[in-house]
Amino acid sequence: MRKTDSMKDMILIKKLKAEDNLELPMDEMFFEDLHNKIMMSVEKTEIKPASKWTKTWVFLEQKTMNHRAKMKKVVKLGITATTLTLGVSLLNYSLNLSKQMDYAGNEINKTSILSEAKKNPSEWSELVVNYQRENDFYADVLSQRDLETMVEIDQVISQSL
Amino acid sequence: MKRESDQNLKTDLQLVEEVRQGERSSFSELVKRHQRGLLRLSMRFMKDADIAQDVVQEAFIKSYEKLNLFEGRASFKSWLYQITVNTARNKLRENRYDFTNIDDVNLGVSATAEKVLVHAAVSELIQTEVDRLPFKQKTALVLRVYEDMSFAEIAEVMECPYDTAKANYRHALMKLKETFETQSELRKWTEDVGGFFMELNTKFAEAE
Repeated sequence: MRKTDSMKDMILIKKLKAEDNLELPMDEMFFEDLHNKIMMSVEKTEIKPASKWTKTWVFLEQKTMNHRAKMKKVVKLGITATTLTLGVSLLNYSLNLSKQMDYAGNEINKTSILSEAKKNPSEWSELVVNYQRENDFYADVLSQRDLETMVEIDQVISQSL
Repeated sequence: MKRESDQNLKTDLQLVEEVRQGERSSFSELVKRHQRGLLRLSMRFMKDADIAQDVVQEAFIKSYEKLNLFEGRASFKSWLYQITVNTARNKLRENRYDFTNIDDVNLGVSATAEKVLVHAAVSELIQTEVDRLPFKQKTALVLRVYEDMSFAEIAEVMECPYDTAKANYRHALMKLKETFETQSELRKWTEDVGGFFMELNTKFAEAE
């Protein structure tokens, strides 16, 4: 496939050359005139002296020229890696945060429910009994944590009574 | 006369060194050596002989002014070509030259002159497509195809790494191939290429 591609390219290049319609002036006079015109301008021009920084600048420029593409790749890779890491970390952090908030919310609820249950045990006892009934539709969907809370409420109520 | 033949024997680098020492006439020899190549290159970008001449003149003046910046790591020719390409690009940016729109090219031809005109039209279409390429891709293509430069030289002229020069050239070729396949006149032209290619493949198969 590579071989055929390169052959196609070769033919394309040959055709491009064959269809080249660029016409350059061929007479010597034309180029003599151009040369004279250029030299007349050059006569009025001076070579700029090289400052002490020029050599350093040229050296650094040439040194970095070939590394520029590599540097670009490294920078791109770095940016991509940083973005990905940041994204994953943020996602992790937000998940943890929501878990913690959930937990804190539940804790607050639990504390307030328990304190309420202590205040009015008879009413809450009834509520817990209703809640724990077998035919209670919501009993099926109770989570383990809810059940634990219920047990705790039950204990608090029985102590109070 | 003897002095002139002496100058002819000298390398570009020797002449550059002489110019640096104050021998302005050595620059004249450098101009004589490279003006044709630079004009040809400039014409590819500017499409106008007068503007192309201005670009060449400006490029030579710039190169003379900045001769102390020429380190000799790349060839003087590559350095000159680099200045010319940059000057042409700046001129194009300044003037925002409009290139021929491909839709404006009239392909209507009389039966008698069909062959000649179709050939001319195809040639013009190809040139238009080459002109439509992004500047870097066009530069790489022009230097490789029309100036027969190596990728190392192209990289020097374009002030980019070897791989980038090669990639620009390959992209230019790919774009041209794609365009040629979508345009009717050019499709015919590429079919000829394909036909030739198929013939070549068959010959290879037979030989194997």
